[in-house]
Parts: sequence; structure tokens; C-alpha cells
Amino acid sequence: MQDERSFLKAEFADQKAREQYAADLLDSYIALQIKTLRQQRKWSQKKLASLARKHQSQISPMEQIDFRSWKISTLRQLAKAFDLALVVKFESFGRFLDEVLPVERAALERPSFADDPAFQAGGTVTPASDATSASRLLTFPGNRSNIRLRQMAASSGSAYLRGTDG
Amino acid sequence: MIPYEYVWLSPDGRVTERLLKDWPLQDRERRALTVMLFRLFRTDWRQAVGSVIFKEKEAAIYYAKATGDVQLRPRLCRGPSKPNDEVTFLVRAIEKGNTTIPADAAKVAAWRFQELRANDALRRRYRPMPPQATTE
Repeated sequence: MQDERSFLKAEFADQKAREQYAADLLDSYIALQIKTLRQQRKWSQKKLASLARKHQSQISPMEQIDFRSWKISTLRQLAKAFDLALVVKFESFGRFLDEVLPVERAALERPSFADDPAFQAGGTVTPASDATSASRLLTFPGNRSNIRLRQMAASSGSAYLRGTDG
Repeated sequence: MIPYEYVWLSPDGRVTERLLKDWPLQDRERRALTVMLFRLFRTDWRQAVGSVIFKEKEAAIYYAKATGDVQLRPRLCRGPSKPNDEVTFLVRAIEKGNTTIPADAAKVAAWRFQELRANDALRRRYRPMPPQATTE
């Protein structure tokens, strides 16, 4: 939906509006990423709950876009279960949109450490000094995951991958 | 998935009202609804079910969650013409204390689903528009 950004650009002029959109977009982004990461690993909610030391009944609400009760300690447990780094940072609204608007499966999936191309033989992690160069953050020639990451970054014209791959 | 919305037509076939666009909502609810629709647009069916939309008791009917000061729970269906790529919002509904208002939202949605299968003119593609730009 090309209209998303131009629509939100107008809406964000109002402070209350941008605060609510930022909260709702972030909550829904986290929920959808948890679900997508679980599906990527072909895990049941029960298995994720077990790995994150949570009760199964706690996982289902966290995968719903209206979940509001996030705790960093819980997100850390989930990151550990997925074998991923957790990133919490302050961001300008413009770059925030770059990061949280794309929720297609490919934009949310992340490899566990064992499959992380940056830590495989020949892979390198490039310092993220230039926020507009998401495609340069991970370089691992010929790796399919990396090609997909670069395609995503190119198509979004953004740096939403920055810092999310450990 | 591409969101569509049910529309009401005048006898000469003009759209007189759109289900989502013309839903009278407070700003907070309208924004929550917009975010939900953005999420639906960017997710596939497996991602969306259980996160954005949820199965109803009525066959082929789902409800979506958007939470402001009021819990919006509009009813929708897959397709109907392209069930893997489209959803169509059929009934406006809210939830108060585990009670759906209107109580027959799912049944009306099931009825409109059948109506839509016979007449695709009863829906339009949803596009986000700020309230001041809601002219046809």
C-alpha cells in the first residue's frame, strides 16, 4: 500500500496522533514478529512457551496485535528462545516508520545464531555507520538469506534491518 | 491481503455509504482501525489469523481486532472472489464486556457474505483517508 506513508505523514503532524500510531505500530510489529519467528522455526506456541519459560496461555495474546503489556524481561526471554538479539532504542518518527511498517514474512524473519550468515565462514558484519545503507550491514556473498535481506532493504529504501540481527 | 469494504448502494447503483470509511469513530478508534488495516494489508493469511483476525462461530466469517477506548471488532470474510489475496469487511461491530454490539454481527456478516458472492458490486477496495478527505 503505497498510500501508507503519505497517509501517515499527514497524520503525524498531530502529536497525539503520532504518539498513538507509534504505540500501535510498535505493539503490532512485535506481536507479528513473534508469530512469524515462531512459524519460521515451525514451532507450536507450546514449544515457544517452553523455551521462553512462559505458560502456553501467555504466548497467544502476545501474538495478537492489540497486546499492550510488553515487558523488556519477557522480550529478553523470547529473544533467548529464538536465539536472537533484542534491540530497544529511541528513534525519529521517520526512521521508525521505515522499521515498523513492513511486516511481510520476509521482513520479520530472522535467522538464529546457528544460521546467521554473519557468523558463518566467510561472513562479515559491517559497522552500521550509515543508516541509509541497510544493504551493506550484512555481507555474505552467495548466501540466499543475505540476498533476501539486501532485496528487502533495497525495496524499502530503508535501514529497518539495522541492528536487528545480533 | 487486500482489504475491501461492504458498501450500500442507491437504487441507481451509486455508493451511498462505505462500511469502514464512513464508520463514525472517535479519532483514537479510527487510528487503531487504520493500523489494523495496514497490518492486514502487509501480512499473509497464516500470519494474520490469530494475530490480526480471528475465526468466528459462523462459517467463513472472521472478526478483526482494533483497540482504542472502544474495542472495535468488525466482521469480515475471506475473498469472496480471491480467498488467498482478499478480505472483505462486512459488519461494523464493537465489544463491551465480552458482549458484541450488535449481538447478531456474525449472522449479518454471514448473510452479507452470501449477498456479496452473488453481487461483487457491493464492495469497494479500502484505501486509508483522513476524515477531512472522505468525499466520494
